[in-house]
Amino acid sequence: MNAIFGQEIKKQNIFFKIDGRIKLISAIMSIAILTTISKEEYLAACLAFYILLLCLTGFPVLNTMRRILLPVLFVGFMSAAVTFANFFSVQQNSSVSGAALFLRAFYAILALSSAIYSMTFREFVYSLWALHVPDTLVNLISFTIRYANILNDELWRMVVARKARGYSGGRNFWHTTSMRVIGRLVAVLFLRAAERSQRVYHAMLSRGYSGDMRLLYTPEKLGIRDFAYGALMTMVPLFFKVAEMGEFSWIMR
Amino acid sequence: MDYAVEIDDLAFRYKDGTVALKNITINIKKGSKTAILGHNGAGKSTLLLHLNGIYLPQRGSVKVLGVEANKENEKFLRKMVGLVFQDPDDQVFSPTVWDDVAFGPANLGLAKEEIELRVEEALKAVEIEEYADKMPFHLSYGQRKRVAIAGVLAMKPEILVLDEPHAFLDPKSKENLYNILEKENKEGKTVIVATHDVDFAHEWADEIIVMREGEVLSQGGTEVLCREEIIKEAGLEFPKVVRLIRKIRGLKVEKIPKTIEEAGELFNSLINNGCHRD
Repeated sequence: MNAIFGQEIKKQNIFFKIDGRIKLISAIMSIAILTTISKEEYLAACLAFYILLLCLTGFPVLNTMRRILLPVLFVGFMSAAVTFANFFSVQQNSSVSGAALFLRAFYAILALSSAIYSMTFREFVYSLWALHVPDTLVNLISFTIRYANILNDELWRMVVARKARGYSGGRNFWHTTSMRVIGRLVAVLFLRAAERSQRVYHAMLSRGYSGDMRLLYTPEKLGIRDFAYGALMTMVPLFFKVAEMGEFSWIMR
Repeated sequence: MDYAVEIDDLAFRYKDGTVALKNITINIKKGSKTAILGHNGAGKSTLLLHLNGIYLPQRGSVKVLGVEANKENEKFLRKMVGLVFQDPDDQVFSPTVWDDVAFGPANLGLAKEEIELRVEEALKAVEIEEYADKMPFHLSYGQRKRVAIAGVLAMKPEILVLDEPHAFLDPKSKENLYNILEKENKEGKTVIVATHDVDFAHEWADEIIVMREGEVLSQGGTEVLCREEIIKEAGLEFPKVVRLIRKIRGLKVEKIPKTIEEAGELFNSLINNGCHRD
């Protein structure tokens, strides 16, 4: 959980002070608009604008980039595959270019992860609830995050115990001994995490949990800064969308 | 006699067929300090889980403050019995210490102001106010244990139940825990502790319950821990003070001292007045 939410650096810079609900709504809206833009240069401009905005508001961009490296690499791989497929395709004008796909996905990952990372766990759950996300879904999300920590903790304990008995990582993918050890580790990890989750659930029941998580978070009043941020986040992609539609062609003339 | 807990012929079997409890009949007085002793797998934790309705009796009955433990009274049991689990990592699961301590009071449906007050009091009682905004996973084991205790204290239960509270604690943390339990008991709470620590049980408790393989071997005052047949059968060892007294050949005392300090006083008085030997 500590890896997901900016618990300890909260409220230290402008981006963290912006209301969580606004950050989530504006991120979702800008992503929705961006998915309709197909010109790569406009998509790149939107992405550049968002990164600039994060930098100007004091958000730790590099740190976040490191966190989202894996999904971005995955998206990069998939986009390369699309580009490769387009290259050999008989279809002359492919509907989606690999670069556009990559830019859209990169923007979506960055926008959502930066919005979530800049909130406390309580603020995140409250934001979902305030946005009328169904209670069941909010509970599900909040428990997934909490229980992911348990899984991570169990994994860490097992890895340490394994190392302590002299195990060193596999040499390659075909190293059967390592693969067997990793296979067993994953199997036992899920069993142990399930058992521990059961104990955590018992502990929750013993403190009166009956299915509803009560929110003890009171958000600050929405201010001009919040609305200005929300407007900027949605207006910029919207501007490029309108430009793509040719509505500003009279300016270019 | 006013009892906090009355258990009559309780039996419990896990789904995999393991018989965890059989024919358990015990009474625990209101306001008492009770230690439940037994080796691993003796059924201590399973018994504790019956006290606040996590497990319901499969046979026999459990009464807490005169109220029968059943599905209808679950809420009452959870409000009246605060259970601190052996491993704080099983209990502390919220993103901040404050959130975790507030979890129980929030489930009781209290007003926000009342919750804030209780959390503040509980954090103060276990001396971890400065960690309120910290992530529990960044704290030491002893501190996490205190967070777990605070989470239960904030619910203001009538009966405080702790499962192996001394496990993996350093001497300083053990002393802190001892003081917390004493304070809660002095405020009128019934405190029940499941432990292996015979020294702690002998020094702290006024009621001892010894368990073995799901059964109660003996119940009584601390003198239970001086009886060889009980200690042997339960797979325990004599408390250090008792071992010392037993090593002094011919020494007979009316009342076995509970603490090292009491033993010291006894020896000093024996030295000063001349030993009373057979």
